[in-house]
Amino acid sequence: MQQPIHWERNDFSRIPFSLLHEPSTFDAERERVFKGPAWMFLGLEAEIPSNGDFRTTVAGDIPVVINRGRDGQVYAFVNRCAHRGATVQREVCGNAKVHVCIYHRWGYDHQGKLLGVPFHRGVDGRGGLAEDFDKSRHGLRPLRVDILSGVIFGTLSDENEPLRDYLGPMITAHIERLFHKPIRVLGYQRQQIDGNWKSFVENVKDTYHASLLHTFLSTFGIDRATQRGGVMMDDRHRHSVTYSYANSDTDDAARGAYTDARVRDNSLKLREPSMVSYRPEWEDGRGLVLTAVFPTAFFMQISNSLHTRQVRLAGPNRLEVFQTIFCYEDDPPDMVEHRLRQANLIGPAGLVSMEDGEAIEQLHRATAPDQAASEVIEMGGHGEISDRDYRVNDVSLRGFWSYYSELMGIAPAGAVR
Amino acid sequence: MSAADAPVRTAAVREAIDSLYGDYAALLDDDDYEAWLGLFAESCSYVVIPRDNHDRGLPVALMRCDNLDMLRDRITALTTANEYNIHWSLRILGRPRITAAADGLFDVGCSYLVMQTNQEGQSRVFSAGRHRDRVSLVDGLARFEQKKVIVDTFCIPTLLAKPL
Repeated sequence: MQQPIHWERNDFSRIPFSLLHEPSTFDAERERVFKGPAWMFLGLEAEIPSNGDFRTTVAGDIPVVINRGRDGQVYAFVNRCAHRGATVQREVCGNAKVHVCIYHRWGYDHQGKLLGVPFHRGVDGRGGLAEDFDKSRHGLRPLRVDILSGVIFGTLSDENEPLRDYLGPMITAHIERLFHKPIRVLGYQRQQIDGNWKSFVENVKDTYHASLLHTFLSTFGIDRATQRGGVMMDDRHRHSVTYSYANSDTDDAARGAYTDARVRDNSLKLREPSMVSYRPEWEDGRGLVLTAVFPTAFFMQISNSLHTRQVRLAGPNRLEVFQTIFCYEDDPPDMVEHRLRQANLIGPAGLVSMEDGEAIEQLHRATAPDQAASEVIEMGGHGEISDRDYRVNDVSLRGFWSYYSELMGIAPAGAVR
Repeated sequence: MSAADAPVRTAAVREAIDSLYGDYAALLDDDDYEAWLGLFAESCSYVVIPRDNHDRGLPVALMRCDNLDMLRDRITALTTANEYNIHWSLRILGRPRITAAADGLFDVGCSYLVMQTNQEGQSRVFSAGRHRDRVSLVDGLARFEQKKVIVDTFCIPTLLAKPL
């Protein structure tokens, strides 16, 4: 059973470390978040363009297949045989007319309906399934699917709100901004981190850490807290968009601001600065837009690098970051080349992201022995959770914890949101 | 075996290429990046790519340096800016296999295994994979003209800071 949570404050500016470690918390998350009202990012339509195309993915740590049926529609189901529970589709991706479990060769269609059971009438009239076995009741568990601009979401709940209501108009508009024309997947980057999935979610939403932890940014003068930017949230603060404007500060302003930050602001020069240069492609002038969708999805524009991030869970103590990098179908070849070069910035070897893995593992290790203590989330103040038009804040982390606590049924009495 | 492959069999070529890979491993194990950069031709590309991308014809890499200046930038970032898990790395390379040759250029492949050891003295297998390279031989001196590291362990544990 879940231990009672000790909240030092009721505005989500203190989060007990136990939530990052307790096995019972992880079990509850599976039931209340991932099988609960959340819509989860499963993949991109561009990954399964033809009928029969499939790709394996996850909802939290629940194995899922997305695929395109004979009717051209996208379907998703839990990748676990209705017979003895083995993984049905073992390939990462491909094309299949039917999905067949290798154990006893039960076969399923693209919607997960059970098509055939070998020897279901036995051999020579002996053995086989009972007369009353109803194949229509033994399919793979389906997910409800909805699609926004080619981005596939699924849910295991039968009674949650429609996808666009779940996202809200502001988040919907930002996903439409990133996927405003057809895309092509350029490849994947994957990384496993010995930490809790929520620490990674916090990390991506946290604009405060970016130029302090990722010293490449300040060292080479690329992205700094002195640039104009901020954070916006949906009505319930469960999702967020953090953004900044390209080239919106000066070297002198940055040097002044970073004097006491103990980061190495050498203003070094790159020999190949074209790698980090931003080629404007949106009229809003934003060089960085990170859209976080509760619980585990991110839609990212970092300069001209475009990618999605899906956090895959493996217990309370390990997560995987699954990153899908894409370009637009009508990109000229030199723009594709530029985006491929900018993939140097992101992912497990990313010049402006590699540090995340180290930070999360260090905090997970150090917090394990003292789980009654709390993390402090107070950049941008405490009290009511609201949008900010400056970058040095971590207020959207409190928004995440507010909705998370609500779903988990552990919110503090008199919660301030 | 065709005539074009004949130089592959000479002891001098074998010796020069073995030395190149021996130096590559030893200099990286010693974090001696300046000397390590000296093993590459000026126009050399250096690419570390996940095996699943490579096998599916998808171009996204983990590190992509189209020329030596980009590789120098990567090393400058590593030594002056990036933070990473503090560790020693140690690599074992298979014996280089020379698969083709023409005009003083050789296609060379070898397997690798990279161990990481942390400050507490705990070691782990960090990465397994293969090098697929093009090597030039001028006046008995071998240099990398293209280096592609194909990473089998593409679900990268923690992070990848140092070149593989």
